[in-house]
Amino acid sequence: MPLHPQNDNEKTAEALLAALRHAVLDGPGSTPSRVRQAVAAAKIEELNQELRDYVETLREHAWRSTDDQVRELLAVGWVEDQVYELTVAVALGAGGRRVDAGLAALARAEARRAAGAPPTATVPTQSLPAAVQATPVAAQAEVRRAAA
Amino acid sequence: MRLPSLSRSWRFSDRVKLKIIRLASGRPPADILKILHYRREFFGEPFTEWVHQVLRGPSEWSVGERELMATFVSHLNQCRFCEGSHGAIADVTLGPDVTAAVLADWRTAPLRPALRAAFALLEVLTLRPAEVGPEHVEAAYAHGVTEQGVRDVIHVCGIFCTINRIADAVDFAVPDDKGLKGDAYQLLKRGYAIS
Repeated sequence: MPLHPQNDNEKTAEALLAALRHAVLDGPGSTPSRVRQAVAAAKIEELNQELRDYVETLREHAWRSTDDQVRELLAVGWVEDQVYELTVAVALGAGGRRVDAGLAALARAEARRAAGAPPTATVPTQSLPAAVQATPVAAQAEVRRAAA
Repeated sequence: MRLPSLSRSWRFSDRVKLKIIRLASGRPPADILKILHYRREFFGEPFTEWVHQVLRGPSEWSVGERELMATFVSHLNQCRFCEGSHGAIADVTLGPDVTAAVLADWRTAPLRPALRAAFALLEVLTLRPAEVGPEHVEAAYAHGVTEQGVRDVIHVCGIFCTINRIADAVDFAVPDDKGLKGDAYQLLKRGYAIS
C-alpha cells in the first residue's frame, strides 16, 4: 500500500495515545487518579496486597487471571466500576510501556542516522538458534517470560 | 464476562445501537462492544480513535498486514479472543494459509522482507520491551521499512498489549467461527471508531 501524506486534520497516533492516557489516568473516575497512575506504572510498593496480585497478573500474564481474583477485590470493598478502571489502567500501562520503549529506540536510531553513524549490529530476523526455532511461538513466549 | 454491571450501564443511544446489532446479527453483541460503550468517554472513545487511526489510517502496511500484526501480538499474549477476532480479518484479507504460517513460525512464513522485519520487532517489543534498542529499528530499516512504518508497528504492539489484557481480565467470550467471520466483515466495512 502506498504511503499517503499525513492529512493536516488527522491526529497522529502519538496524540491519540496521549488523549487516551489522559482520559484513563487523569480523567473523572470512581478511583482516585493517583491509584490509577500507580497501577499503570506498576508501582507495586504503593498498592495493598490484593491489588498487587491482580496488577502483577494482568501485567505479566493476563491470560492467567481468574474469577477468584476479581471476587477477592469485590470482597474487600472495591466496586465493579473501580475494578474496571483499574483493569484498564494496568492494561494501558503495559501497552503504553511498549510504545514508549519502541519510540525511544526509534529516536535513538534516527539520532544515529542523522549523525551519520553506521547502523549497529543488525538483529537477525531469521537466524535464531535451532532449538528456539523449533519451539512453538506461544511456548517461546512462556519461556522468555519465565526467564525475564 | 467477569464484571456484569458493565453490560447494564450504557447511554440510551448506545442501548439502541447495541440492540440493533443484536437484531441484525442474530446474536448478543460481542463483549468488546459492551466494554467500549460502558462509560465510553473513559476508555472506548479515545481507545477506538487510536485503534482506527493505526489499523485503518494511511500506512505503508496494508490493512491485512496490520491485522496480521494484531493477530501475532495477541498470539504472543495468549489472548484467544483477540487472536481469533483479528485472525479472522487477516484470513479474509491475506488468506488463512498466511495467518497460519505466521503463527506457526513467522521466520519461515511466506512474507515480504519488510513484513518479516516487522514481526521481528513485534516479538521483542511484546515479550521483552526493556530489550528493545536502535539495533532492532535499524534491522527493520535494512529491510526497507520507513520511520513511519516502524512507528505504525510500535503502535499496533501498544494497542494489542493493552486490549489483550483487558479481554483476558474481563474474560471476553470467544465467538464461534461463524461469529468471528461475521465480525471480521463488519470491522473491515466499518472500522473501529465508535464515536
